[in-house]
Amino acid sequence: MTLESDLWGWIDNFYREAIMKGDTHRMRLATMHYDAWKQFEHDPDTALSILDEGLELAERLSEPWWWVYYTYWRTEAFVFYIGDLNKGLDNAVRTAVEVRKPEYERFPGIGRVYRVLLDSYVFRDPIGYEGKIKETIHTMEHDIPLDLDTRCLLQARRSQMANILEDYKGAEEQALIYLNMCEHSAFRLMHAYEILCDLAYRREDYDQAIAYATEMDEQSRRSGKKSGTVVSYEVRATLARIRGNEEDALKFYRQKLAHEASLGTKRGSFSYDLMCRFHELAGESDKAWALRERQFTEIEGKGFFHGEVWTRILRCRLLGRMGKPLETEISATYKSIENLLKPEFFTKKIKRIEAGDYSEKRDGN
Amino acid sequence: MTEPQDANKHEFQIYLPGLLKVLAESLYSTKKVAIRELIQNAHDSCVRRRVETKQATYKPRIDVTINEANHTVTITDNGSGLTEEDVRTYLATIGRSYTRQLGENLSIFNPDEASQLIGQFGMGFLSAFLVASEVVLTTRSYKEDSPTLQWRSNGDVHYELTEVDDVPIGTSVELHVKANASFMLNEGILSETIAQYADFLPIPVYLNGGFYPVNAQRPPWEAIDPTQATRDYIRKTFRVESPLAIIELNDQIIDLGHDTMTIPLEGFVFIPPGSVASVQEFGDMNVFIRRMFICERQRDLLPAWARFVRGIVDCTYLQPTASREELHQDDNFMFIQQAIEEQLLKGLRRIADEDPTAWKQIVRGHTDVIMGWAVQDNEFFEQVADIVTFRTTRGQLSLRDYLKETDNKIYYVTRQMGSLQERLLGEGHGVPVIDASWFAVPSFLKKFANRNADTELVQLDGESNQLMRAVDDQQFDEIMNFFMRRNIKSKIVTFKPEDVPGIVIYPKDAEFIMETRSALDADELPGPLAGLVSDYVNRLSKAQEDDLEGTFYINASNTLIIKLSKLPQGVGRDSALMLIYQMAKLFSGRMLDNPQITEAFRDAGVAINQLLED
Repeated sequence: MTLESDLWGWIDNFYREAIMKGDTHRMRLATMHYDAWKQFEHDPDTALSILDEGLELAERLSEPWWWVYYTYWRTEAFVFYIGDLNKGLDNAVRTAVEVRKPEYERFPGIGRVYRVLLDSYVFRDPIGYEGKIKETIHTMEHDIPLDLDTRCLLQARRSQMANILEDYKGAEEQALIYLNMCEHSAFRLMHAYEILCDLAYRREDYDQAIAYATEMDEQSRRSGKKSGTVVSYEVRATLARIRGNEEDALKFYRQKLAHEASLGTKRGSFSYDLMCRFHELAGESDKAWALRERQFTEIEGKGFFHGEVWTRILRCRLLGRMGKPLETEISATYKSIENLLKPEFFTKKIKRIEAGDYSEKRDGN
Repeated sequence: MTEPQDANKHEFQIYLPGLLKVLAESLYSTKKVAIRELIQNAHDSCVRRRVETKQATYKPRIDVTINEANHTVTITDNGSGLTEEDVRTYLATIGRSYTRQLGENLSIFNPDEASQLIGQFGMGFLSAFLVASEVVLTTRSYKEDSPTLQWRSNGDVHYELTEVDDVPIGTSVELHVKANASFMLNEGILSETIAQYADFLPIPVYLNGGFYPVNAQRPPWEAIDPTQATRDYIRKTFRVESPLAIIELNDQIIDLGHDTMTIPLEGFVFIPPGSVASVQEFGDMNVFIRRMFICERQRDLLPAWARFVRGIVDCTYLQPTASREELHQDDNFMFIQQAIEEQLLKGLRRIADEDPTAWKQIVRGHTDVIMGWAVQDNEFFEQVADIVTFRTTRGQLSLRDYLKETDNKIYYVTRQMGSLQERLLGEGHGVPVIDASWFAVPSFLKKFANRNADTELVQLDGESNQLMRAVDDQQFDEIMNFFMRRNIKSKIVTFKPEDVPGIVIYPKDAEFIMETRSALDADELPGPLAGLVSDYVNRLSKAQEDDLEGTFYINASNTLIIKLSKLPQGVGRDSALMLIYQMAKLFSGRMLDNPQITEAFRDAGVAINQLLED
């Protein structure tokens, strides 16, 4: 049995009541998170300022549910848009501790608070916390009232976990279930197609990858977001180059650059992988290296332990393919894995690099 | 030579009633604009008569009359009137404006007079059909031997033009008011509407034969006492009783790189007393062009950061849209925006320098917005960085003044609870401490420090031991041993003020760690989530574990402590030390739940009792 939470009903009712009372402060309180959401993609700092202000207003108006709701959104901002997992996780834990209090027993956003805490661990150390993450997903799906979007995202995490654990078939099966749950939201559909596109690309099913990229682009435009469009062009540019169609490759690359200009958020690992390959294929390893440098700088010291190690491994492999010395990078990678609960997963990969295998060949099924 | 005829070229066919309906009903958002358009036509007609006849004794006037019984409103002017040719060429031809033509002719040799003309689209007259089922225009031109003409239309494809009995020179437009525009027959509403649109027009507008005109005929900045007139105007129009400051707008030279350009600017901006601050709030301007009201609450003319500002601007370089309810955001618009921003910043800076009291009021009323925007906008930050004031232990201070007292260090506290002793320590150290409990303040301070390499930030929350100096003196060993035996972590230091014998400092996450542990112990978090939370808190507390109970910093420069250090162990000394510790614990304001408070008072009571007995 699943428990439903009427998050939007709460927000709508609160807003309607505020209108009826002519309470402009509460009207604003009920709408500022939309304003922040609109800003997330191209100006996350402004989005954060709006959320901070929402928090302040909730405090002034003594609205604890709204205080928690804005705190939750701040966590989203840190984890997904600003890229500071240290702050995100800290925020997530504090909010989860706060909502245990009796006054939040019927708070309809409780599922979101827990979900973003779960996400923080998915980004921090998904292999080390694999058991707890899976158990949390199960508990949330059965014991916590969830709104539809949260339910969808839990499904997405299932797919992402399978992908991280190198169970690609399982990841695709879960992603297809996710896709079928997302009809209510173009933004979610865009995300689902991105996951599927990533999986298709890595198993070298390029026709399928392009089909998913096209859908991703369409849903991105429908939802008024740019990120899906940018990734879509990155996929098309890279695949055009793989297939030797240089004219299209450059055309799509230019389009990607034009759309990317208005994005203020950090790019995802799929984007970096695509663009590094794009440059490497043209013999521009220095550009690929510059991208890996940027990718690493963006997450270094921000609490993304898994991402940090993974990026270091990609850097090692690239240095190897470039014929450059990689001892320093390898020893830094060994140092990085000390933050992880189960470093063995990566130790095997480092050993392979030490043995001279610099390929991006996937492990797993 | 005639141009060859092109067999493929055809003329548009216009269905006039349909066009009138579209223009009249869709171009304008409110029926009230019909009044503006007709008064403006009357005004331009008066200007035209003055320009073309150059009669020194000519006294222009406009009269608006309501006839409730007949459901008519009539707008009459004693302007130039129209000849038959004028009527056919300009009145009955949509899109052709005599005023624009006259303006263009005058602009070369008489730019001042040209600038007084308002109309330009030749479409305003159509707005009459917004409110009237029939329009009857009666006119006699100032030109010699001009007959009196009557033009009549119900918005159909036809109009009637006939000669009628003579009337004085000028034009009257009689509107047969539609049922859905009957507000026009209400004298109060009509008076307000005229005042809204035509308040600044220099020609008097009289309503129903009233003795005094209903419009002020000049903007407040041209009044005999502009300051008082502006305040009165703000009170009447914006309903703001006491603006914190008013900044006049004047002509501004804009640097175009290769050249300069003077933007003719009139008006003012003012700062209302504080409202609920918001980065979502917007400042706005009421816009006039050649003294005719165009629109209110225009947001884009003000810079994004100026959300706490309102005002009025009149600028001939602004270009209205055809409905003249909005503005074209063309190059001139951008220059005017730039001019307003420059004058606003200059004005704010002047207030900060010359009238610190007014500036303090502005900052107090709008700190949130000012600081919030400065954090986001680098240019604005540069402008306000050293004039924004902060709440400090020594009152409101700007960073400029603050840094003079602290040798380029900024001491601040972010938490409201428990920061009292940090503030005390700061003050004891001889430095004011900034209250940075509002979210934008720490970001502002960090931005300031990033941009000023010689400035150092010192956050005192949980770090106030930075203001203490360690002491290695065996004289205090006995006191240290006393507390060690009672499992109280203590350190001997010196700090100011010397009158304070000791304070207890907790790590900044102490309360959170304790609360979370107790929630975990009580199984208040769902199973697997508890595991995730517990893992995080364990890591967090690892570094702070030893200090969770707090560290008692004993002030070696305090005379009482010095005295106690010289006393042998005994009931009196021990009770005094316990009392000092419990006082410090209570003073910290932290980690105090009910049992803790009770325990502190109980121990203090026991100590006092022992002292009395001793």
